[in-house]
Amino acid sequence: MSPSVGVFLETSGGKPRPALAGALAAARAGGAPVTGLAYESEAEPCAALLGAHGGGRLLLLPDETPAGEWGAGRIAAFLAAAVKAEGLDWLTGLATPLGREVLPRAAALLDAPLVTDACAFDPGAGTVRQALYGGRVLADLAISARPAVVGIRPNSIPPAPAAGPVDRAAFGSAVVPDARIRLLRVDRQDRSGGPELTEARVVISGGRPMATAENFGILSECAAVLGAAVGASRAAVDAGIAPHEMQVGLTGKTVNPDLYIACGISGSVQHFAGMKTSKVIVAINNDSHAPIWAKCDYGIVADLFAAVPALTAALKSAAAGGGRT
Amino acid sequence: MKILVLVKQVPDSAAAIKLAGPASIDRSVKPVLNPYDEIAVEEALRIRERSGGEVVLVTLGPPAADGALRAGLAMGADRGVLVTCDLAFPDPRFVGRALAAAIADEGSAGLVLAGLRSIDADGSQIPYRVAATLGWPAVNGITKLELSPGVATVTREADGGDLEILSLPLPCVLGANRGLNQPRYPKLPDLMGAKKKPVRVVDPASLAGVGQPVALAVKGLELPPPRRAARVLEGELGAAAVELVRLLREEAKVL
Repeated sequence: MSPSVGVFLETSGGKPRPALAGALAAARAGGAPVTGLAYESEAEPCAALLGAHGGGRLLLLPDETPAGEWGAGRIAAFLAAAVKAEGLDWLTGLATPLGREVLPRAAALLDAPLVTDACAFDPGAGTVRQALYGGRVLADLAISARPAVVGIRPNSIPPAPAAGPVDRAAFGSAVVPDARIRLLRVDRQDRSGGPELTEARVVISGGRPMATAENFGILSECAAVLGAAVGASRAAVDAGIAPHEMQVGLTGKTVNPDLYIACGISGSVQHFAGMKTSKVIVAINNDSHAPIWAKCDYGIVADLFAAVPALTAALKSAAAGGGRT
Repeated sequence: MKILVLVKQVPDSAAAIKLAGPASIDRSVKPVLNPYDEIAVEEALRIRERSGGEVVLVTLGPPAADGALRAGLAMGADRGVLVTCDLAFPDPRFVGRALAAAIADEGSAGLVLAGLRSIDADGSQIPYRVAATLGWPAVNGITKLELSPGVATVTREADGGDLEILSLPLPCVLGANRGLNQPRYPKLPDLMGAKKKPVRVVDPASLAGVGQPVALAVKGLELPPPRRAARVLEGELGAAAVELVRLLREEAKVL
């Protein structure tokens, strides 16, 4: 019998994360019945996503987060309760910042095995591929216990669109978040509306030579043309010119885009730990001896303050000149 | 207050990792204290400096993991506990149970601190597993911590960069993220002094509810393929940028 797979349909701004298409492809690769797990208020876009990627059951959690309750704690409690109530063999989701919070929490509640950041997943065979040591080794694990939890690295599994019926159901069992954790307040940070760093298809990052926070504006301008997220190296974060949430690398975020553009980044092992699986890496650096030249695909040896605006201009003119849309 | 800090020894982040067999790693790589754990140790030391108490480091690993304890002891922690486990890839469920049992065995902990994640296995799961086993609440990835009697108030970075301010009762498990503090560097006399600090070695089988170590089923390991040499675009910058965009579109097909 095929194993049953639950997929946490993470949303942002009311829309499912685009990288979920890959997670759904992995979930139903062996013909497994898929159960999408989502909030009731987001049923429409989640049903649309599920219906376009094989279909399945859509289990909906009522949106009744009482004041002072922590949303991530509620999601984790829902995921764990759904796995138990539905007898799911696997729980999957994305290794995004939210996924990295709620999936381990759910795994602990279930005392279930967990791979937090998988780059391949076969629920039928019970195998998961995981990067270890900052991507310096790839490990293939066999997981025999059920249920088991797997976070999938965004963009690591190609989507497999296929129309399928969606059967909606309200989740009727109790969801009991840890009431000892209280949300006192949320300090909203005013961020650009670009894609989330961990699932962006294009990332442009700046290093210490960016010199000031304001100078990151040249990366934002290029990112706007590319539909990219803006990242930073640890050196830039340590220098106080970029916030930690933008940090790509071993002690920051792991990104997996089609295109990674490193501007003024020397290319330390620790930085590569967070972006080495990028399909194509471009370096813009005026130091022709920097380690990044041994590890990138394309590059321009030039001062980034001249090269980045030149790239932005070239991208704009290519977009205006027809070409591929 | 007695503060327990979970620490882990990890391979140096800059070292090349070699395989010693189809499912084993060459373990001769220089080990270091997991950088997120340094932040946890630093936070514990600052609490002790403000309000007194004791800072006890707890690790699980082979005898060589004593090095992680010594690194934290050199920073200023009082003593260490080494739960022995010789497996290269212990099952995190076992690790969580064993560390929780070691914490219970220590007794009277007011707070457990850990790192957000380890830079080797990168699961971000042990703080939650330890907390679930102990029946304590946990919040991972904190960038600010304030303690008042019986309550921890923490800040963590949520999805999209928003900051969530949460409160939870003590005892609890908190995972430290970058930004919480800047860990101190031990000086030479601290490194020497750390060698004399007490470390208690504990067999996990002697801890209640733990049992024998359980390994992950690693079917194979491989090194990622090296990247081909870079194509460097030269000449006038505007033309180089146009050529780069063309290559990204037509050759790499990523635009």
